[in-house]
Amino acid sequence: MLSPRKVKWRKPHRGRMTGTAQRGNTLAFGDCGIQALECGWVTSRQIEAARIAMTRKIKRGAKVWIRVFPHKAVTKTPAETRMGKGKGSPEYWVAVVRPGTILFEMAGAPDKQLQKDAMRLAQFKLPIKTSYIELDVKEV
Amino acid sequence: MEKIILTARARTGSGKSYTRKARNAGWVPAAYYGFGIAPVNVEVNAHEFGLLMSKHQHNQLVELVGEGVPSGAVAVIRDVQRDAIKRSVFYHVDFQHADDKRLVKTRAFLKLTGECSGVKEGGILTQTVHEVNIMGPIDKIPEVVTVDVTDLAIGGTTMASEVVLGDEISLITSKFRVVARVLGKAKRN
Repeated sequence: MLSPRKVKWRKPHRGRMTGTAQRGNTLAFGDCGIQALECGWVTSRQIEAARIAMTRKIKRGAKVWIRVFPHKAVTKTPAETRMGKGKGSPEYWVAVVRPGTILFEMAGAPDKQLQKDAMRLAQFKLPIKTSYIELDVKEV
Repeated sequence: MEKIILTARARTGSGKSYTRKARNAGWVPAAYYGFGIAPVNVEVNAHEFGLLMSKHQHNQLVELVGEGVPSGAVAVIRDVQRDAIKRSVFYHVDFQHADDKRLVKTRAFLKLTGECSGVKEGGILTQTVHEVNIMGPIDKIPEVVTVDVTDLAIGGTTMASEVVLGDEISLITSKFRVVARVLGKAKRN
């Protein structure tokens, strides 16, 4: 699973997720991708589950790019803990996603329908509403 | 290359309020500028522009026709600002005047041709560049440029220098830019 090797601050604030993605909102590498339609936190487990779902469907017959990285640590206080005693310890890592962010890209699949199906399986693993997008090029 | 005629009109206002109203009324704010002409703020018909973007290549020559637009306003699309999610919503377009006597810089869609030998061996063909920057006279600008990948084996790469260009067309993209490569298929553990 993806996680930072080292971070400057172990317990970051939760922050706000207003607005749309100002960068990382276009296809940069592949022919198609998954674009977020709403904001949210995508955990490293969800990213990995989505990656596995699509690579298994295409039987490693295409190149997949993961365009988000879980930089943010989410802390949790243990169950049945009394109030106080400070902030909990980091539990998992999340990527902050805003509407428009491209989460995954894919290229080189033998069949367009297969590519779409693989992306669809990955979409089920994600906690936010997403859409499948293709590169905007016209065949001549 | 054929010219696409777009209905346009001179834009009287500017700013957030005016452009929002124009977009809601079915017009896309745009600017028309270039060498030897005075820049004009225009707005183009959103429906026609949407059709142009969905059916034609983006390096298509466009002729702007309408009230307040200088006659013979032939242009290439230099920049398009669109909604990142609703791709059919356009915010602003830049049209750069295409002069007959001057070379035009634009982009062309790159298409891979031929059956790649590396793919037959089990590799994955990846196109790393989908469009290249080219320069040439306006009547010679191609919609698509091609590159042959028939002899590309696993681990091999094709560079931009191998792209087939037409007469008088030159490549602006670095000739050392990798446009396609074949990745070896990973072995299962």
